[in-house]
Amino acid sequence: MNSVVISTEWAFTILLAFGVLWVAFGWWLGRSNKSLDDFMLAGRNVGFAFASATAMATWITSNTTLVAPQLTYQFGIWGMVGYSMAALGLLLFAPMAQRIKALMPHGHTCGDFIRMRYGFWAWIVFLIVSLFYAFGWLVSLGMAGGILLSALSGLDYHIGMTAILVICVCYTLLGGLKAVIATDFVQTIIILSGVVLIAYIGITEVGLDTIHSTVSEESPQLLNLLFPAAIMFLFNNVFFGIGEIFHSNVWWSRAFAFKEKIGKRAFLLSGMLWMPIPIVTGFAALAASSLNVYPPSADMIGPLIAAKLLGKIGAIFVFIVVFSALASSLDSLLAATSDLITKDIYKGLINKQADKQKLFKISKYSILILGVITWILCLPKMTTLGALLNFTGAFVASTIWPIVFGLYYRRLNGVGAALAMALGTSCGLLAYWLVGFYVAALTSCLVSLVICLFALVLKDQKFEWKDLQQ
Amino acid sequence: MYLSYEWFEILIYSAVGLATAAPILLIVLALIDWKKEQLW
Amino acid sequence: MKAILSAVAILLAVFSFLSPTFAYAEVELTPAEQANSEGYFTLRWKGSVSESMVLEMSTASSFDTVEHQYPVTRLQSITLSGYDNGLYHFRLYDPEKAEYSNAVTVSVEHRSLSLAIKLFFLGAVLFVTLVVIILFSSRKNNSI
Repeated sequence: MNSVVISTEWAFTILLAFGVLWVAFGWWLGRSNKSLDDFMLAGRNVGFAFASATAMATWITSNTTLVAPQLTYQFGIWGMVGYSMAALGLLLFAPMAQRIKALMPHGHTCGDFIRMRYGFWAWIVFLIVSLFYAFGWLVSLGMAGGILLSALSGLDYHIGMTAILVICVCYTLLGGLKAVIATDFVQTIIILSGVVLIAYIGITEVGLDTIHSTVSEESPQLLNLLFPAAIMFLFNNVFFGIGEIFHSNVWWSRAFAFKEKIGKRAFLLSGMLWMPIPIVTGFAALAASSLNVYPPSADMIGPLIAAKLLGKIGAIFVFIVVFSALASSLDSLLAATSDLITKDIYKGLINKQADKQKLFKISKYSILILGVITWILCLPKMTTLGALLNFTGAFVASTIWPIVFGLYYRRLNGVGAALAMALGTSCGLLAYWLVGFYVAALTSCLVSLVICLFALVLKDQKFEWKDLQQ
Repeated sequence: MYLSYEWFEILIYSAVGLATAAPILLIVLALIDWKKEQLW
Repeated sequence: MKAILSAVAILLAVFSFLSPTFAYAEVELTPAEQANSEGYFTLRWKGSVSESMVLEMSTASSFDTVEHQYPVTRLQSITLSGYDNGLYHFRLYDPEKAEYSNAVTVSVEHRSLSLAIKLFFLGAVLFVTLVVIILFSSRKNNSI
């Protein structure tokens, strides 16, 4: 069996075509960007359709197109159902997005919120968590791009990885958040049509009954609803997903950018539309034994099955879908992280007097610098897919409670929030090493809740909400 | 406790059905926004 | 470039035919033993393999009955999943040359279900708390 299914020429052609298309689109959309708010937050006036599509597309990443089949292959039914639970993060963020926009109509980043709400130290801890996560995600996306494109086409890892980074950096640089959101819309449509098409072909070619009977015969564990490892991992994964969304500037910048009163509905719709996607992309992995395809490593199962099902045309399709999924997350992450660097690190720590024109320039430089750093970190192709991200579960889950309490309760103080994040992360990491990956986020979230509750009981900060409005 | 074929079928078909509806819904919503000039 | 590569490949093939050290028995399956608590695991091998080669699985160390044959790729590893508790033996087999590699064993013992269920409930309680607090607070705090 040969896993290289489309020719390198084809891969190049597709990369070039989409690269030119996205970059031109980005340039076209970027012409009207006059101010920092236009560039960073798309003029703070994004409508319902674009808002829903961008939230959804950003959450469809290599995770959904690759890790969903991988987890299904490893954990069976619970792997894909558990993955679809990550939609809960989007659904729960919906009421918070509305609150964020109401509390901070002029806000730019989640760092702004933490700094104004909790003060310097909590802000520093939060920035560390946030940047660690952002880099983990950026690098895993860059590597996923390289690995995938090479698995599907034989294109060299470094070329694939470089191409996807260069394309995303270019159009994000030219068009800012507007380009990110508009390309996200197109990419969502491409991704959804692609995964649905592959699923349809899977169902008609192999048949659900064949898949079910072969799996129950050969690897019944995959249909076991009481699969211990899978049950353990379920809520850990839920908290991981919630932590990723609640803390990350990718989602906060969207809450700021969406038109007033749109945030809640848009996040709810995107969550509901996202929920079935991991099942649609994941169930194909159950066809492995029916198709007699056994992957060299678990993360390659998705592309291998698709290629086996659809042959060359299918491989081209998978290539485009995966490329779109990677790009739609990578661009958002580049934009949101550069906002964080511009507003929080540059304006907050380096040059407090910087005016908006200066920041506009800086935000463009930081996209470029982020791209270069990601590229350097991706060069050695260090870990398998997802390993990096697994590790960040402990970090992000510790921010859930400080953010929720911070948004709704005046009582929680900065020391409590800083300690909750720092100790939550530390305990989560300890649990990761001592017990296993499946308890890292859970432990982190639990410890952080306990500390927040202590802080709430011990001291009342009496925070004034209007302090956030500056 | 294993997932029976009936439930497996329901799970997959409802997921695929929803995922099929999603792009159509998004395009319709975008057209409505565009008509009302509220895309951005 | 392609011509050079195929020339190299032909040379290698000739050499492998001439020299017995390139023989199939060189293929070594690793790791020799592994324990596993999720029912999925990866086996790797060194040495070149032919198209026809398969990975055989048996629950008996003698391989009296081969329960499953898996096709393998040239990528020198395979990941299998969905295994129940038990001891499994694997070896590579080339039907064309009728040659076997070394045999390796994988023991699968799933985590305890009671621990899994405890963690599940802990997670569920924490999750319900979060949902209730967010819904309750966002309703109460509709205006600032």
